This record gives sequence, structure tokens and C-alpha cells, in this order.
Amino acid sequence: MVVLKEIEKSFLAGRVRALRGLSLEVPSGTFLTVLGPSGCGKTTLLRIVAGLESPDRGRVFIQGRDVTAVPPGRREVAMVFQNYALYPHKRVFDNIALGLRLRGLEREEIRSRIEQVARMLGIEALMERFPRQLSGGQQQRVALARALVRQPQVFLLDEPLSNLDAQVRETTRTELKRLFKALGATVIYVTHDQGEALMMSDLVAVLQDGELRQVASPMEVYHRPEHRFVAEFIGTPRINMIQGSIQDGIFSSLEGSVRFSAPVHYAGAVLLGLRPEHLSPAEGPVSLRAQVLITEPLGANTVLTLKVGGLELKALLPGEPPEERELQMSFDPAKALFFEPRTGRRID
Amino acid sequence: MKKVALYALLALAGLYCLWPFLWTVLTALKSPQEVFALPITYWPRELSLENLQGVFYKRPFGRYVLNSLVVAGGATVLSIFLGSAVGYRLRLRPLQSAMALQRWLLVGAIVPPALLVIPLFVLMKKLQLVNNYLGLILSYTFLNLPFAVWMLHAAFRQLPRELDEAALLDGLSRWGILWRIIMPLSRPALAVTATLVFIFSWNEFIIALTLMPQQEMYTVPVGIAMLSGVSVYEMPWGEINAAVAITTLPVILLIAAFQRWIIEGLTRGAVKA
Repeated sequence: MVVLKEIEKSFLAGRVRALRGLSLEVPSGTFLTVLGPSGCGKTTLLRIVAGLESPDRGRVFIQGRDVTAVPPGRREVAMVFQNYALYPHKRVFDNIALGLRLRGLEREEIRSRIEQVARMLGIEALMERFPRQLSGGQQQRVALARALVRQPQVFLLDEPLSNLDAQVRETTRTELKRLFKALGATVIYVTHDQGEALMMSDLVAVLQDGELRQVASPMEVYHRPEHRFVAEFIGTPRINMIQGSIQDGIFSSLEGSVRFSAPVHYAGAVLLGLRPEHLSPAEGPVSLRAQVLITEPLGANTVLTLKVGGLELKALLPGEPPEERELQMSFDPAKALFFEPRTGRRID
Repeated sequence: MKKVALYALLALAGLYCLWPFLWTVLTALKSPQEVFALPITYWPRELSLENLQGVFYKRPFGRYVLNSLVVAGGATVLSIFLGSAVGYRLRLRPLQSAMALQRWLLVGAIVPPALLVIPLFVLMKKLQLVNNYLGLILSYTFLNLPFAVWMLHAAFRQLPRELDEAALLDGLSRWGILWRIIMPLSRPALAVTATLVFIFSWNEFIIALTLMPQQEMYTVPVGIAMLSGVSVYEMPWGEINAAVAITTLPVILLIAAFQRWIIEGLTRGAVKA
């Protein structure tokens, strides 16, 4: 288990606050993804767990041991870097072996461990090559092998897929998930790709400007986002956000074209969040008259850009694009999300 | 046709550059009488080793060569060691503050070595390092360190920071990272720096003359300057040329040995890596 307590970290003499009192628990055997836009502090978080940065305040625990002051080499963590950081002057075998040699393992033990990991990753044939003689995908595997062979308590992965081309990325993603599942490993995985986060993880931690917005399962994060930022960051096409207010249990949008009875006890200004796939061209509890502005076919689905009164909304429909220019759209109010406009918190 | 012209031009330029050295070697190989013969002979009428023998027989020239090797070698090793350590430490700092520190080093390098002769002598006298290899080694290291730091820091900075971090996670110490990761990856820069420091130390005259007044401690350039004939009116040009030809040898060998790395080092950054 990895525990972060009240971590504060700033750079440039306090001018950039990367992490603001962040606390997080990663249970053993969990694959946790830290998700957020560039500059949100997710890599800083990873580097603090690795020991490559020390926090200004707060403590880091790994398996119950306070490692805040422990150097990276003695933390029982292994990291895969975005650019892999293989040693260019060492052969693949020596790249993987270095960490084990420094820990004083026997030659035979080193050899057998490396053989095992190489077989698992299908890189047995590359052992005598130098990193520059490998493709991007192969380098990525070697970097992974270097981490796996150490059998650490925690794996830290910093956008390990971002330098691969789309096809390799897709297969590697599945492989990684299977591999870490089989090992029962504790993994902290950093990415800005929401697709990766949802597909691979047991838990997703959404980070914005150095603050955790939500830590939950992928489905929970998607369907019950606790914060407006989480709702907007996760999901493509993006969630529709409509300004309005609730009076006497009735929501009405600011420009007046959306009105329905809201299933929440709240009064005052709100933001209504509607996932594009929750808008459907059928009769339903809440109906809207919509004019089709743009249709974007995706094959299995179609994205529509609709004009509803003074609003522009996205809808995601299964199947072929409809032919009509005018549509009757509807949604289920139970699926609508409400956020407090000032704090961004979801209203239950 | 164009190629022939190009190579002819290159050969000519090469000959022009090498002419003084060639002339030195040819003169060294003449007999002492032929050196002063008129009209001048360009190619020795007969090859003679008399000058070469004279250099070694009449004075402990072998000892001078040994002195020079110890001093230049020591200064090179020490400069590379300290330069790498400082360069690596600077690399860990943000670029701006590293460059600011480095500029202060440059101040030390601006002072002409000739101005430092007397203060250095006084210092070494106090440290009892006159006529001692260490005195000269320390002086040359001091003079070359800013250059070595400058070169090595620039080279080290080109390596991605993640390499250090991966090595830290693998369990290497900072020294281990420098020795096992950073230095092997910077061989071209190390070769260039080492060669230039060696050449400087090998050729240096005025400080060597001051700090090593005892004849057994002469370095080669001092030894050559002190070569004299039987009277003040006689200049033993044949022997001087022989001595110069011999002393150029280690430098040529050094450059030949590191040629591949030096060329790589000098051209690195010329095109996008």
C-alpha cells in the first residue's frame, strides 16, 4: 500500500504550486491511474513517490514504512519513464541487470530472473543488442523489463505509452493490463489520456492544479463525477454544460429552452451536465426541439451538434446519422448531473 | 577531374601545414655538418642518427621526457577528474545558476599564465612543492580546470536527466552515476578535453622553468631551451631539431589513439543529433 499524506510541493521558490496538500491511498494490488491535463502535478506526484523529488511538506509511506527521507534506490519502487531512459552504452541484458547487480544478487539468480521476465515480454532475442538498435515498442518493453525484474513493491509508470504509435499503443495497453493483473502488482500510472485511464485501471485519481478532484473506479468517475472538472475532463465528446437555476424543484436553463423537474433538493444557480449519449432522438420524460447543425459519423456512432433554443449541445447516437434537419430529442432527468457553479461540487 | 583538383589542393594545404614539422624531422636526421651546409640540402644526403644520440648522451633527456609525461599525464588525469565532478554537479543545478557559476570560473581563465608565475612560485615555495611533480601538476590543473569544466559541463548537459533518475532508482550513487553512466556516454568530450589539457601541459614553458629549476626536474620544453653547444656562440640546431621531433611524438600518438572520438567530439552538435 502506498499512502501520501498532505503532500505540498512548489517550484520556482513557491511561485508554482504543483501539489496542494494532496492525500492519497493506493491499496496493495491496485492499478491506480493519475489522470489530468498537462501541468496538473501528476508527474510531480509520481516523482515524489519515487523519491526523485522531496515534498515541501507531508509524508510518503510504502507498505507502512515512512520513506519520505529514503533515497530512491532504497524505496523498493521501480519506474518506467516516458522516454524509457535506457542506458545507451549498455546492452539490453546489462540494462536490465544493473539494478540487480547493485543489490548484490548472485549471477545465476540474475540470469534466471532476466530470462523469466524476457520470456514474459517476448524480448529474449534482443538481449545482446544496444538500445539504439531497437524499435520504440521494443525499447518500451526493455524499460518495462528493467522495472519488472526488480520485483519492487510499487511500479511507477509515467506515460509509458505516449511515445508509441497508435497501433502498438493499443496492443501494449492490453498487455500491460493483463501483465500487472497477473502479477497482482501495485501500480501508479500517470497519463493525460482518459481512454487509457478508464480502460486500464482499478482506480482513477483525477488531478486538477495540484488538487485531487476524485478517486474512484473508472465507472464511478464517469457516471458520478464529484466535480465539474472531472465531468468535463472525462468522456468524449465532452459533457454538455448548461447554465441555469433550480427554483421550487424546477430546473430552467438561463436562456429558457430547457425546463424540467429536477430530482435534487436544491435552490439557486446550478450547472446542468448532460452526457452526449444520454440525449436520444426519441420520446422521453424531457423533450427538446433540436436543429441539426453538424453531423460527424464515427462508424458505429454518430456525433451530432444540435441547436436547442440558444444552446449548442452535442449528442452521441448509435448507428447511422439521421436524415432529418429537425429532431425531437429527449433525456432522462435521473441521468442529469448538477454542479454548484462556484465550487464545482456535484449536487446530490 | 574536379576531385583530382580538390585532392591536389588538400595535399598542398596539408604540406603547407606540415612543412615546419617536416623540416624539423629532416634536419634532425642530417649529420651535424650537413645541418649548416651551404647550399641548403632539403633531403639529407645520408641519414644520420648522430643528433638523436647527442640529445640523449650529453644530458638526461630521457629524464626530461619522463618528467613531462608524469606532469602532463598527472595534470590531465586530475583535470578530467575534477572537471567531471564539477561539471556533473553543475549539471544538477538549473541552467541559469550553473552558467552564472561557470562564468566565475572563466574569470580565473582570463588571467594570462605569465602573470601568475611569481605568485605561483611563492605559493609553491611555501608548500615546499618547488622541484616537485605535484607543484607543477597542481598549477597546470588550476590553469586548465575552467576549460575542462566548461567542456564537460556542456557535454554532460546534453544527456537526458532521466538517465540519472533511472540510475538512482536502480541504486547507483551520484559518483556511480558519474562514473558508470555519464562519463562513458561523454567519451568524445572527455577525449577532446584530455588531449587539449595534455598538449597544453606538455608544451608549457614559463611555469615549468620557474617551478622546476633543478636540472633533473626539467620538462621537455625547458630542456630544449637549455640545450646548448660547447660555447655560447654555438647553437646545436641539429640536436634541438631532434629533441623537438622526439617530443612531438607522444602528442601525435595521443591524437591518433583518440582520433575517432576527437572528431566525433569536435563535430558533435554541428548537425542535429
